[in-house]
Amino acid sequence: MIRAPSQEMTGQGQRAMAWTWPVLGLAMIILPIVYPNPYILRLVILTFIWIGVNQCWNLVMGVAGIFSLAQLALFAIGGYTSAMLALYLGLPPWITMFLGGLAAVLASVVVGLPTLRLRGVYVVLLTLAFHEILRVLIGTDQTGLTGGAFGLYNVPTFGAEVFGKRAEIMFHYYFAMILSALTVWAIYRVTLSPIGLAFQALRDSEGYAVARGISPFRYRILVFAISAFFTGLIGAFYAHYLRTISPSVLSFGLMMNLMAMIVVGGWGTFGGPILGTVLLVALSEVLHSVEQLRLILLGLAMILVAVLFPSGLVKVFADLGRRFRQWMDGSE
Amino acid sequence: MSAPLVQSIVSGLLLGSIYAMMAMGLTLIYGALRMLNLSHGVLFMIGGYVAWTVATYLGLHPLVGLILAFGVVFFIGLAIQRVVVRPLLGKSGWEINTIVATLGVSIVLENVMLLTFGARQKSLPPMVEGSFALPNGVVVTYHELVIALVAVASLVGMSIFLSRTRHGLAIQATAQNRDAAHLMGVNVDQIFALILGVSSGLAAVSGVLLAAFYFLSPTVGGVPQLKALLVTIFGGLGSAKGTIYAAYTIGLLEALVSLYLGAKWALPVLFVFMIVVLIVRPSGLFGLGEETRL
Repeated sequence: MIRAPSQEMTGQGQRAMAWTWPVLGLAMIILPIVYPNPYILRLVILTFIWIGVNQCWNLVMGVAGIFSLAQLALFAIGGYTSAMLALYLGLPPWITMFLGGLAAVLASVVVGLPTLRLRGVYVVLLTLAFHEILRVLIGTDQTGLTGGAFGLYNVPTFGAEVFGKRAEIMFHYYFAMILSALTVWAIYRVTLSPIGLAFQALRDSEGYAVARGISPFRYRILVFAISAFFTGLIGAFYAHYLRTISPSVLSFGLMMNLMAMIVVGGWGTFGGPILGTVLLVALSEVLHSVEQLRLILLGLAMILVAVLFPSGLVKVFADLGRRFRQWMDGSE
Repeated sequence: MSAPLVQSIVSGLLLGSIYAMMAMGLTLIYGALRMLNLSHGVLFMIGGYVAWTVATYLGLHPLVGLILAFGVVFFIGLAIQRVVVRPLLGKSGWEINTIVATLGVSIVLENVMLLTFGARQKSLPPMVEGSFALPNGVVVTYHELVIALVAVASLVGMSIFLSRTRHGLAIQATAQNRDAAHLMGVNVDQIFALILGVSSGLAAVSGVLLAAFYFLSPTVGGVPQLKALLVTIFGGLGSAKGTIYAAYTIGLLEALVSLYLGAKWALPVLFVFMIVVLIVRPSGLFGLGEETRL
C-alpha cells in the first residue's frame, strides 16, 4: 500500500506545486537584490544548507524508510575531507568539494555494508554509534590533522572575497541556492524514478517488494550513496563558506534540530523537510536569546507532531487547503 | 595477574553491573512494547539529580536519595506511558513515531534540568566512604562494592519479580503475545505503565550509583544510553538473560580496551565488535529471532 505522504510526491500535490515552487524560487532569486541585508542573507544561506541536508536525510529516512542517524556524520566527512585537501594539498575548493562528496559516498558504503542488512532499531543504533565515534575521534584527535576539538581554521574559500564583501555574500547566497535547488531537484527526480518507486516499495512492504525482484540490500546501499553524495557536497560548501569546520557540526543538539525540522514538516513528503527547515530556522532566530526555551519548544513540537500528526505539518496544511477549496466550491 | 589488569577487571565488572541495570530497562520495554526508548539516558541523569538534591538540600544519606530517585523517575516513566505510548499504541509507524517522541521527551527533560540546575557539574558523595585493598595492592572502594551489590540485587529482584509474581508473569505474557494476554484478563495498559515505570526507575538507580564516579550534568546520560543500547542489541533485543551476559562482556571489554589502548578507543572498538557480532549472529547473543518478528 502506498501511504499518503508519497501521494503528495507523485500525484495530487503537483498541481499546487506547479505554482508554489517557481514563485518561491523567483522570490529567493530577487531577495538579495531588493534586500541586501548581510545578516538576513547569511540566515537564508544557512537555511539553504539545511534544506539540502534535510532533503537528503528525508530520502533515506522518509522515502526509503531507513532510520539512519548518520547524516550529519556524512556531512562532516564531506566538509572535513574537502577542507583538509584544500588546506594541506592546496587544491582549489571547486575540485575538493566533489572529492568531499565522494568521500561521503565511500563512508556511507562502508557504514551501509554491515548495517543495511539489518532492520529498524539496529540501523538506528549502529548509525548513531558511527556518528558518536566520529565525533569522539575528531574531538580527541591529537595529531593536529583535523584540528581536534577546536576544528580547522582558515579553510580556503572559493575566492569571491576579492570582489568585495558584498559581492562575496551574494556569491555565496547564489551558490548555496543553486546547490540546494540542485539537491532538492535531484532527489525529487530520484524519488519519481523507478529506483525511487523501489525504495518506497521496500519501505511499505518489504516482503512484497522482494517477491517482485527488488534487491533490498542493493537499493538501500544505492539510496545511502545518493544521499551521501549531496550531503557531502553541501558539507564541503559549508566548510569553505564559513572558512572553518569543527566537531560542533556533530553535536547531538544539531542532529536533533535537523531531525525535528524533518519531523515537524513531515517526513516522507517532498515539501515537509523544506517547510520544517524554514519554520525551525525562523523559530530559533526568534528565540535566539533563550536557548533552553527554544529547545524545550522543539522537543514539545517533536512529541506533539509524532503523537498527533505523524505525517507532519505539510499534511495538515494540505488537508486545510483541500477543505478550504471544498468550502469555496460548496458556497458557490 | 598484574595490579593494573586486576584493577581494570574490577572496574569492568562494575561497568558491567551498571550497564546491566540500564540495559535491563531498555530490554524490558523493547521486549514488551517493541519500542526503543531514547529518553532512557535522560531518566538516568534525572535520577542522579534527585539524589543530589536530597543529599545537598535535605542533608540526607545518599541511600535515601537512591530510593527517592527510583520513586520520582518511576512516575516520570508513567507519564511517558500516558503521553507517548498510549496515544500511539496500535497505530501505524509505531516504531519510528515512538523513537521521535521519546527523543522529544529527552530534549524537553534535558533542557528543563538545564534551566533548573544550570550547566555546572555537580558531584554526589559516595554511598559509603572508605576503601580496602586486595592482597596485590588493588584498591576497591566501598562505594564500588555497594554498586555491585545494588546492581546484582536489583537484577535478581527483577528476575524473581518477572518469574514469580502476578504482575511479573503478566509482563511476560504481554511480551509474548499482547492480544492473548489481553484476552486472558491482563490489563495491558496497566502493564505497560508498570514496565515504563520500573525500567525508568532502574535507569534512575544506575544514574545515582554512577554519579559518584562521573560529575553530574544535564547531558551526562548520552554516552551511558548509547552503551546500554549497544548492550541491549548485543544481548539480543528483548532477551533478559542475554542482556546480563552482554552487559558484563561489554563492561569487561571496555575496561580492557581502556587499559591497553586508552579510553578514547573504547567506543570505536565496541562498535567494530558489535558489527562483527551482528554479522555473525544478526539477532545478538541470545536473540529471539527478532529479525523476522520486527
